[in-house]
Amino acid sequence: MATRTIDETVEATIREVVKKLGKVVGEDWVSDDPAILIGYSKDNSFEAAKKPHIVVLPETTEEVQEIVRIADRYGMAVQPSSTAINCAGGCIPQRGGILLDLRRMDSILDIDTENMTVTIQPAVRFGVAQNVLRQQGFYAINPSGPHTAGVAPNHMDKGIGMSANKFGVGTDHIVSMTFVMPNGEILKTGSAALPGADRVCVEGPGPDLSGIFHSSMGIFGVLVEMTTQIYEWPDVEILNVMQFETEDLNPVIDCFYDVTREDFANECSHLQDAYFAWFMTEEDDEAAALVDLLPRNNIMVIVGGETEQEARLKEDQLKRLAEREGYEFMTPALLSMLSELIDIPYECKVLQVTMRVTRYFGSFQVVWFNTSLERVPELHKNYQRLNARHFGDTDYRNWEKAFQPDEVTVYTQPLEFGRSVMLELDFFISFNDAESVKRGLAFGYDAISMVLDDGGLFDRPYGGATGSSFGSLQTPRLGTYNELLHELKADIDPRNIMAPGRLTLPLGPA
Amino acid sequence: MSRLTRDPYDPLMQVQKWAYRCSKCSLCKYIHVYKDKYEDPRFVDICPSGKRYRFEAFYASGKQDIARGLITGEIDYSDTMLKAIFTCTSCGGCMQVCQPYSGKDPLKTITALKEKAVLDDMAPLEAHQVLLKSIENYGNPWQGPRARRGNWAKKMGFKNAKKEKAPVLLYAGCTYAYDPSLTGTLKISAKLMEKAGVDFAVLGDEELCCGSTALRIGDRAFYQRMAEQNFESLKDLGAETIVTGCAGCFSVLGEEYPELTDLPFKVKHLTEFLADLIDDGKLKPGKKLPARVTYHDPCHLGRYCGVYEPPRRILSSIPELELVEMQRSRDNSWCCGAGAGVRTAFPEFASWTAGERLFEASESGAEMLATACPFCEINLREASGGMEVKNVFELLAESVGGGG
Repeated sequence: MATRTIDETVEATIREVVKKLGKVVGEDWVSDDPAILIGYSKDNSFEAAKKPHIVVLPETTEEVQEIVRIADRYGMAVQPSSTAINCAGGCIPQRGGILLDLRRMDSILDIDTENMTVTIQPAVRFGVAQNVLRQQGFYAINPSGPHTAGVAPNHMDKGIGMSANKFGVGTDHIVSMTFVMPNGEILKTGSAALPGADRVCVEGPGPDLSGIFHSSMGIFGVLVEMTTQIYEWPDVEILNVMQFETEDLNPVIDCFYDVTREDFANECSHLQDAYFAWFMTEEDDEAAALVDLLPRNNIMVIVGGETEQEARLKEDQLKRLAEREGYEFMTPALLSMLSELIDIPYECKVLQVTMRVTRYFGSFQVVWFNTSLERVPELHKNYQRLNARHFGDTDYRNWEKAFQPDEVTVYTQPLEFGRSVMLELDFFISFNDAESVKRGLAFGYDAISMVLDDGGLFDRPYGGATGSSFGSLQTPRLGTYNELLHELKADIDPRNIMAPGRLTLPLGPA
Repeated sequence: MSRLTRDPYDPLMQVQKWAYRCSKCSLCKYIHVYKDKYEDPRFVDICPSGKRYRFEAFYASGKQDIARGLITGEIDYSDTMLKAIFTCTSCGGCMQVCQPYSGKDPLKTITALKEKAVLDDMAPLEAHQVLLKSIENYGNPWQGPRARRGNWAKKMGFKNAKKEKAPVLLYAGCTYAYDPSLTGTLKISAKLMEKAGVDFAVLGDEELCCGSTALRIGDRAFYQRMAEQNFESLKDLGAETIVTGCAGCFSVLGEEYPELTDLPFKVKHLTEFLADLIDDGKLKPGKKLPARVTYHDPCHLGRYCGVYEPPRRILSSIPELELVEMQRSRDNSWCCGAGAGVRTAFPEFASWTAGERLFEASESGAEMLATACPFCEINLREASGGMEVKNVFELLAESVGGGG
């Protein structure tokens, strides 16, 4: 009797699973064609390209349950993906298997304006959510990302935006989540855990299970529904920019301490001149011209309210604080010019323009981490020194860009009244240039190590947008925390089918 | 095995930089959200093939992966890949939303993939081969005999451009010249020009195909042959301006030919030309046409050439015609589904795309959809199921009266 080779067995299994999945979702929504698979194999990170074996596009929670059960039966990995725009390798299937593309699940299920929540499917994008909510006078907290980003996955992954100084990160807004677990069963978190209870309470019947899903990247189950908080739309907004003509970030941090603990700023963040100019312009030469006009460091403070009077009152508070502490505001002429450049609605001030940074080299890598405000100046200096060591020998004589790579680096986002900060230190690479990738990898490795040595915390398992290969640098330092996570993963997903390899743990198969 | 050759003109060579640089931000999938009115989440997609088939490969971002895969040799041609490549209508929506932010043009990669497939003998698709064969044999994609190309102008008394010089040449284009449902539109357009006192000529049977079809389905060499022949036939006519009502011919004549040679004439779309005649008082729309009309921007006229206002100026000049906009309009417009040979090779998909557009039109409150491209007109009319689809020229002629 002829025996099948391993490849033949794998192929036969894939054919069998494709057939079974086709019966669940319809043949049009499942494929194992390499031309389809390759579309899910690479993103904007250093993560090596890896194709799934099958892509399937379910439309309902019941279909997701069936798919997961089939995967479990065949021991096949499942990698969920909602809008497929994670830039940190987060949706790249580490071990092949089934790529669960949830983009057909993109409905807003309920808007509860009385209790200020919205219930959504995983692929509802910020662009859609904000516009629908806006018509009812509300908005969802948005990240500093494009309007194409998914609300639910971004919240679950601790998305951070300019309003984080007041409202915190994405996970702070989640009321409840519904997951399809590795065995195909449904788990609801928060107040939704109790059938019949209103979805108004963030905490579940304690101990609260929600936390293990935060930034879990699909390793414990598939997110199929989320209820999240929404906020009243501020009808009037006023932008103020405080300027600092200094390389030293200490005065910037002092200002953050003063401003963020007050309650008048809806949004507050820091951008250095080059980054700021890059966001505000469409062309390289426009950016170069603008950077000459901008102060080196800028803190944007947006105050707002339901009425002009309320917004002005808050602005007066800010001005009194600035006068007392000796902070300088951007000139009205320059501010007016900037306001014209960013004359876009509230929900997207940074949403769309962030993609402009990719003009620089085609790709930018984000080393983002949490720390305390007081550590920022030292971390920034160390980062600059490291950057000079890695890129200092770059010959800028024929440099075609408006800025040198070590200039476009810093975005500082205070969290929750300045109790902590998300510091983003970027660097730029070109993925079609092997030398650029090589240097980027070397720099990324050193940068992550430096941040960890200097007290930074990577609160997402992949360690910033640089991908899981760098995130694993943090893992060995986690000790018992790491071991317990591993045990949890083994208990919840004993066959390790959910996003295997995603936890970047060196201890075992996860 | 890599499909990338050492030939510097290999289409993949031209775009490999961009294939590696796609940020996967998905901007290419949806309209420019904050530019226009954006209230209805049903009308936010900008990529017809992506919206219909949903897999990443059917979006512009997925095409960058396909290009990368062909370059690295990680994947090779398959029917699914060819479908993903050739269901792209080349509408340019992805280009419109990606480029201002990233500086990248995803449509270039898609065009390169089409051209590469032709060079690798994987295309033209069977259905497209029929079009090319027809152009080869008859000088048009619709298998119309050469001797009948000028039938539309017979007994109209127009100048023959080969015999009499005129400052303006009305270039009919294959589709207007041969499609029996469209020749009427062409006639009334010419009569409008006549009524306005324009000194113009036509080429009749001697007009040649511009080559647009070949270009959009990926056969660049074929296109270049056609373009060279056509240019030869046009360059010595003495016309200062070539006017055409076909959006496809217009974009190729006006945007592509200058890539090959310097043009001794200007190229205008008929909507631009007629709108100017209205502004100059040479055409006076007088008859009331009380109807609520929405305008569908043809991709080759709008996104490719930036002609958004002239057709709207024409419609707005018609008494009691109320122009209403769809959510996706101007550079955010949703394609009709016919372009780049899609209607020929994937008729069901083309019809679905048109149906989506007509649904949007009806949701805008319009009773009638007007457009200014023969392909859009045919495709939308066939899928209309009740909504009236007309050409801007027809409506103008009705209002001006006297058959134009």
